[in-house]
Amino acid sequence: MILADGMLGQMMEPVEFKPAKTQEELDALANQHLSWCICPNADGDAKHHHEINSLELDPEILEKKVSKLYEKYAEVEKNEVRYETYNLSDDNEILCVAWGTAARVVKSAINELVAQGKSIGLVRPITCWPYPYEAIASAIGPKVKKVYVFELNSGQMVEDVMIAVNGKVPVDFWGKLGGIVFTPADIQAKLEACF
Amino acid sequence: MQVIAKRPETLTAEPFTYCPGCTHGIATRLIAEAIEEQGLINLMAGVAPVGCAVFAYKFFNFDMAEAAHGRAPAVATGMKRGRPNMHIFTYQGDGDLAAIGTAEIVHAANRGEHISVFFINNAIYGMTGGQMAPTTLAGMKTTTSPYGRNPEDIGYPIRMCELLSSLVAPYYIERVSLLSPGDILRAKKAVNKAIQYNKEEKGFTFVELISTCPTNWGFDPDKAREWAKENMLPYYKLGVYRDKGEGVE
Repeated sequence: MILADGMLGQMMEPVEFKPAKTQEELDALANQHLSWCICPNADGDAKHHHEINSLELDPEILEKKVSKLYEKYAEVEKNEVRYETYNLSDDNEILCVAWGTAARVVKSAINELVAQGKSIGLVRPITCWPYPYEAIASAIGPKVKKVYVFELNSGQMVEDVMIAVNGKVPVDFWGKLGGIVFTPADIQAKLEACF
Repeated sequence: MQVIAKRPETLTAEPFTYCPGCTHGIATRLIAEAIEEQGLINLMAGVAPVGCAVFAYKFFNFDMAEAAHGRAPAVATGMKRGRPNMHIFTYQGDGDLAAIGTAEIVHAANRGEHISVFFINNAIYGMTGGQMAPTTLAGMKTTTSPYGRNPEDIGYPIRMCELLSSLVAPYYIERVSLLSPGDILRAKKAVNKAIQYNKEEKGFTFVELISTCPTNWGFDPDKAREWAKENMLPYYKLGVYRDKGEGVE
């Protein structure tokens, strides 16, 4: 699940989709008759009746089915989390967390403040689920006094950041609404007030 | 000993979960027979709806997917395009197809997807407790229209065959009923034709089967059939609405 916003949604560029698999690979996959596949059937013992569904009336069977799905979700959480870090170091005094367009503005503000000798890091979550809780927790360096969350809404992600920070340092939030985009100077002023 | 009747290979031994007197079982059997007769058991897959027929995935003896409510034509589109050498059908009720799934069925038909859609119209939401469906007749009482459906307030029942016939792409559209042995024989022909066109990759095929819901209509099965003949058939006219193979446009 990707974090996106209206501004990202309106960006457009050419893209070329290539087949994820060749026809031969697809045929080979079909010939494996995997239980999660809809595929041509076979005669005799190889005959199959795959049911691609989420429903079972027997609670015992359904519990097993749901547990299996949760194992799959756990695997996704382990392997598919995506985020970007920017200017992270042990000298960071503030850690910012922002996504999408907000993160781009925060980067400009950080560049300006770094030029003034301050040290501020950024974690930019890319996936909403699985969420980079670990990445945020481990980005809180020894000198970090505060985690500052900037969003172009009234705080859709800030509670997840709080879960990640888990009370280690205070979490502050600032957002703009209605399509107003804060400027690097706005963010800079908020961050400077923390020092 | 001579075998004179048996379960088609295309059906599993799973007992049907339908109420006594319900016509879903007949529709399921007709589709299974048609698939067997066309020799498609190894190349067929289907999509089950949400509603009374959700367990269709247990009844048909080949790979089956369950779709979210109304989304069967969208799932079938993916299955057909992902496995072009297979033949795909959906089995949907009127609550599924003509309410939440209206967008999916209209656009799948409009794209001329090479799938067959079997549409069970019993003018009511069955599984959820007899609520009014888009197909509920004017004046018909249901649990959510206790004074009868008022078209001034709720609109008129949607006729899916007529609606889909306004599109250019569909290859075959027919409305049949399951209200008498003769009707069932005619329905079998229509179902067979849809599966045959599907096998021949002709395009989008749609068969509406006028059905009964004795449980939620509050009638015994005989009375339900008579009621449907008197009330549903004058509004939902049986017939071929499109058959490009026979020159009916």
